[in-house]
Amino acid sequence: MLLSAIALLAAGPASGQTLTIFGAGTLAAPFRQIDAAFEKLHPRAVVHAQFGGSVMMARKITDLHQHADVLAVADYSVIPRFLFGESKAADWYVGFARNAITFVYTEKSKFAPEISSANWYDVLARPGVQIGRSNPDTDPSGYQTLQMLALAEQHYHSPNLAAALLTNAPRENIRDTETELLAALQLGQIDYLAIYRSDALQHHLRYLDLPAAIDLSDPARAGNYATAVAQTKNGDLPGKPIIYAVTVPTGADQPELAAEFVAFLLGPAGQAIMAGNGFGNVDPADAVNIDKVPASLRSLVVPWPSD
Amino acid sequence: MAERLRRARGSGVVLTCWLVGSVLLAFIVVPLLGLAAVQPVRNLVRVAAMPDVRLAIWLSLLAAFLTAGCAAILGVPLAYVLARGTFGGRDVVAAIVDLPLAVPHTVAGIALLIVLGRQGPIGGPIGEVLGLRFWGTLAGVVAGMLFVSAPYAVNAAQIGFEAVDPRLEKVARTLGMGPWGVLLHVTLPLAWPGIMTGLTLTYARAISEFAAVAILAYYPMTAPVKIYEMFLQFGLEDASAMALLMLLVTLALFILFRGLARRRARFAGAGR
Repeated sequence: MLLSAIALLAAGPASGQTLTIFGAGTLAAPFRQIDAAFEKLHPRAVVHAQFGGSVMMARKITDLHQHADVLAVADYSVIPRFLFGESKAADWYVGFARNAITFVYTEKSKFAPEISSANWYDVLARPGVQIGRSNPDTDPSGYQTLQMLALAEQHYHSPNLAAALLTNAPRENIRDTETELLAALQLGQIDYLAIYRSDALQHHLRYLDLPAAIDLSDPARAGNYATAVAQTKNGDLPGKPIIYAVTVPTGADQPELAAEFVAFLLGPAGQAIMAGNGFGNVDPADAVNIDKVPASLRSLVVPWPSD
Repeated sequence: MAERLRRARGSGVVLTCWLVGSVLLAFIVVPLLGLAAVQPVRNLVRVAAMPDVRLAIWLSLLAAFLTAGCAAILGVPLAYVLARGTFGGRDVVAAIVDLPLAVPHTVAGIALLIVLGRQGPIGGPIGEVLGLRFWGTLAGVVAGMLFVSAPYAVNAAQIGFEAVDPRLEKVARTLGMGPWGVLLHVTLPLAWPGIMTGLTLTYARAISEFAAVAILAYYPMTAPVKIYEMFLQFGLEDASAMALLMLLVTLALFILFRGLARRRARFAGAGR
C-alpha cells in the first residue's frame, strides 16, 4: 500500500506532449483562449500555463532554473535584460501585442460622474481621491505609470501634474502588481487604479481614454516616449511603447511544439483572440536577433525597427 | 534484573522513535541547510546591513508579538470555555475556530478588506471615530496575521486546560479560594505549557504570513513581503540571504520561548 501511495505521489502528468508556458499576468485571459484553441489543433499536446509578474516569470527561469517552453512578457525589454546576459536563457524575441496604460474606476469612485479624458489629471489630484498603482521597482506597469504621468506633464503643459497626482497614490496603495488591487478598487478602498487597457476591457471596468501621445500605445512615438524618464531603484528608465514579447527559452523541453505555439499566436487566429481581449496587434510581428528565430517562424516576422 | 530489562526495552522504544523521528527532522533541516549552504557569510552581513531589511524584520517581529498578545487576550478565554464548558453547539464553535486554517490566505485577506476597508461595515466607522485604519498600517498587518494564526492559540490552550484535573480546582475551592483565584493561581499555571505552545505557534504562523497580510498592507513591508520584493528586484541570492537571516532570528526566539514555557512549567510543578 505504501508503494502504491508513493507511485501516486510520484506520478507526473499524463503522457503526451506538455507545453509549459510562463506568461505576464495581463495575458492570462487571452492565453487561456489561445491555449484551448491550440490544444484543439494539437490533440496530443497539453498546455500548462502559469501567469505572474513579467519579472517574476523571467526570474523563475534564470534564478530558479525552471523549464519553460514559451515565455511571454508585458515589456519586451525584460527578455534581453534578464535572459540574454550571462544566463543565456534566450537569444531572440518577437513583439506580438500592444497595450496602453490608463486608469480604471467604478461608479462608486470619488468624482466618477464628472471625470473625463479632458479633466482627469485635475480630478485625480483632488484631495481625498485614492489612487492605486503597482511597484515601480519590480513591475513594468509601475514604472510605465510614472512615464505616462511624465508624458502628461509635457502634453498638457502642466509641470506639477505628476507630483500632485502621486500625493494621492501613497505607498499604502502600492502592490507588487496592479491586478492585486482590483479587489480593493471594487470594494471602494481605492478610487482609481493605474492599469492596462486590456485589463479594463476584460474586467468590464470604466477607464479613461487617454491620448496616444501619453498612453505608451504607439510604437511610432517611441522617440517621444523616451523623453519621459521614471526614477526607480533599478535606475532611470526611459519610456518605451508597451509591446508584449514572446520567446522560446534555450532550456525549453519542447522547442518544436513551442515554435508551433508562437506561430499560432502570431497567426490570424491568435491575433484575433488578442484583439478581442483589448490588445493592439503588431502586424507584421517584429523580431530581435531574427537570425536566431526558429526557421519555421521566420516568414511570420520582420526585423525590429531600430529607433 | 527485571528493572534493567524494562529499561532496556524502554530504550529500544526511544531508539526506534529517534530513528523514525530523525527522518522528519532531516526533512525539515536539510532544505533549510541547503538555503544556508549557498549563502556566503559576507552576503548575510551585507543584507543584514540594509536598513529596509532590518526595518522589515523588526516590523515582522513586532507585529507577530502584538498578534500573539491579541491571541492570548482573546483566545485563551475562548479556549477555557471550550475546555470547561458543556454548552450546546460547542463543536460548532470549535469548528469555527479552525476555519481560518482551511481558508486560502488570499481569500482571508480579501474577506478582511471587505469588513475592515475604508467603506467596510467595521473599518468605515472605526476609521471615522477612532482614526484607526487597516489599509497599509501596522493594524492591518496584525489583522491579517491574527486571522490566520489565532486557531493555533485557541487549540493548544484548550488542550492545556483539558489536561488540568478539575478535582484540583475543586480542592482549591474547598480550601476557600474564589473562582477567579482558582483560575489565576491553579488553572492558568497548570495550563501554562499548553498556552505557551499555542502562543509560540501563533507567533510562528503570524511571522510567516504573506498573502493575507499583503492584501491589506504591502507597505509597511513585513519580512515575507520584503523577501518577495527582493527576489523580484535583486534575484535569488539576496532574497535567500534575507530569508536565512529571518530564520536565524526566529530560531533564536523559538528556543527562548520553549525555554520560558518549560521553566514556568517546572515552577508550576514544584508548587503542586
